[in-house]
Amino acid sequence: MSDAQESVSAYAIQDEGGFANWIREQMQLLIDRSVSSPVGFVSALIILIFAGSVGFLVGVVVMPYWMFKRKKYLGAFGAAILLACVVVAAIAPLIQTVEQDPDAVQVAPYIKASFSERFVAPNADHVMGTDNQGKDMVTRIIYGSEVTVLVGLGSVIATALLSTAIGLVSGYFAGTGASWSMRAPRFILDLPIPVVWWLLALPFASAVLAVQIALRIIDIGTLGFLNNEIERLQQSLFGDMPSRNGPVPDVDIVLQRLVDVWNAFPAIFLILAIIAVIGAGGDGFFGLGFGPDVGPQASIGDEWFWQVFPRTTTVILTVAVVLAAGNSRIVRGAVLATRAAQYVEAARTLGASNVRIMVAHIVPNIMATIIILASLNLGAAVLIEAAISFLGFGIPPPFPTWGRDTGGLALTYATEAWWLGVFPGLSIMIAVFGFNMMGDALRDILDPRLRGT
Amino acid sequence: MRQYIFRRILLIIPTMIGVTMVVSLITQLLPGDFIDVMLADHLGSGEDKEAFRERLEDELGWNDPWIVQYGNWLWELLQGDLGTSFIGGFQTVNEELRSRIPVTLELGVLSLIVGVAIALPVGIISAIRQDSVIDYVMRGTAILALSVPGFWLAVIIIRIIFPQLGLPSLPLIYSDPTENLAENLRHMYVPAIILGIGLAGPVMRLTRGEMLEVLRQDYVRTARAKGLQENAVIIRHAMRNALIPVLTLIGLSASILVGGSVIMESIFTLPGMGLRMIVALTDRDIPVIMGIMVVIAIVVIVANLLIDIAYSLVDPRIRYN
Repeated sequence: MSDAQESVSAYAIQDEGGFANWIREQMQLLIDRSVSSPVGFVSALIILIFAGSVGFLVGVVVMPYWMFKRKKYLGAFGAAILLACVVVAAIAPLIQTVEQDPDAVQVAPYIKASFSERFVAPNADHVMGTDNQGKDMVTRIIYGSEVTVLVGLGSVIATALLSTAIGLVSGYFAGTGASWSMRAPRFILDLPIPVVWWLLALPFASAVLAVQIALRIIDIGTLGFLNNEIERLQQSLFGDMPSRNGPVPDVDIVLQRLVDVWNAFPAIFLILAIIAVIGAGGDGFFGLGFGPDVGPQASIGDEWFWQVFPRTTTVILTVAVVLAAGNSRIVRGAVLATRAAQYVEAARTLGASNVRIMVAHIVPNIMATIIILASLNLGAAVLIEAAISFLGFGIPPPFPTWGRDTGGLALTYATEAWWLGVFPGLSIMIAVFGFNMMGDALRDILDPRLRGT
Repeated sequence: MRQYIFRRILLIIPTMIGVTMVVSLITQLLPGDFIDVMLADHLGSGEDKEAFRERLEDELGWNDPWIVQYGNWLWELLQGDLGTSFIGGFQTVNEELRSRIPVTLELGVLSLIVGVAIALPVGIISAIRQDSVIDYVMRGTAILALSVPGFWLAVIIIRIIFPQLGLPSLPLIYSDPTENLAENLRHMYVPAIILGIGLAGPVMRLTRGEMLEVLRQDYVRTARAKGLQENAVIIRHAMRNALIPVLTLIGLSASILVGGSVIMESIFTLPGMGLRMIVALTDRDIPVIMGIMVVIAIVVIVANLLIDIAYSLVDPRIRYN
């Protein structure tokens, strides 16, 4: 690391003393290490994810009080709903016990069935009635909250990471690429090129593009011995245009076209298609892939949590992938606004690398936007999960989810046993309502300018 | 202006290439295939199972590398041919989609009308009477509308509320609007209202926010100082400027409406693209999946294009970005 960067670190750590200073020092260390080597980067990433999760949980606990103090009473109410969901999901086995199947046909713990108590209307014993197997609906809803919380928080964190990464790179490098990439490629101008030839060139061209972008981000520039080849390829693809900034294309334009593609598919269609490909909750690595949903090999641990958790991975990742496209646009806008700031210019003058400027100078300043987006996504993620579960593509039985409980049996018996679908649906509604309220209040507190987005 | 539109249309080309590649890749990766299903049905002619599978895979071109399959499919797509469905009498996908696209579009347009008809007046009134009781009630209702799962509302309405009120149940068989418009609308109005309410929430909130912003502007004060009537100020000066961002949101909602149609079509048995998509996914009916995904992406892309062009007509600043 150069002296200039050392002096930046030294300047950033001001003598305030106490815990805040310690945190700042650690952050600075983390950033220094993450930009100095790949190993440092990976370990910093792992630490960040852990710290982020812990911070998230602490935030969930503190949020109601904080909002109340800020006189955002509806927001405090919403935050309390989120806290209640998390607590109920965490201590579900303490509230209602589940039993192990005596025949061990099904390793997953299941909710007690009682055939003498099928379709009991809500009464004192069963506040929300029972279903066709005599399972208590309250118990089902309590356990269903685990899926809601896992998918909601999980996909929000994953969305935030993904959309920040895309938006950051896209916004930071916007307008800095080679000038030819701003123009219409030549192959559009003289179209009657054989389509087959063009298709064969496409994978190669995109591979070169990917390598170039990666090198651009980590500041090495293109590899010397490839430069001539790349320029020749560009000339054949795009025509002879002067390239002001070397042969590297505009990262922003490439990424934004990808986001365009991504946005062209409605969320539900894309999720259904992706889930049909990778399967919703099998027995592969962390629940990815296909396999029998129940049975001895389904067990990862004996605890209910270790049964549910891997099976939500597919849904979490899919929802995150779909939500991230739209969010990355907003993050990109925030980055574009921050990039022009003088402290970014100052850091560049001091010789800071691209990664360092992005991580240490831009991310802290767009944090408000990221947090607001995350909190507004929470409700959307829960609703999407419920919708795909309702259609039967979500987390597979026997794990109860609110979305699946609203459809399926509830649909068949809606006129005879109204309580089957009404209560899970109400739970979804109250939870999403609370999350939206909290998101709104958070936005008003952190960044009033974003009101109305 | 013409240059802007031309540039905007050129941008569609890379997006369309990406869309077709994504669709082709997703269906490539779909595990399990329909040949197993066919083997169970069509065997008995004495042909060896493995030989049959080989022959079929060769005929379908499944043994070619992906890029060749993609190229062939794209070539046929450019000629307007989406292939033949594997299941259900080997109908061509074109034929199948020709009857299904209007259903989804009709539902989308109806719910858009419902949503905008609710959202605009409510949003404007809510902004004019800021912080009044009406404003609070409307805002609360908008957030509630954002939070209600549409599928749940649909089930509650048709299976619980309709029977309780003694209303006639909705038709189960879809009727063509050109033959029996009344029956068709009787089938469509509940899903359209539910989707419309879902859309009205965000549109109302944005309308209110933008109106509040615009009502603070100097030119609105000038209009009032000139002695214009309040109605004229709102309609001719404030609303026209406030609605520009709302236009974008409505354009973006094309994607939301088409997505929502999957759920509404499967609940109300409307024979649209969403319902067909779900059936095709369970059947691994690859040509149908590819066809529907591409058609839907085109609908969304064209909707966004039209909105962008409309936007640049209304707000000249956009063109120079």
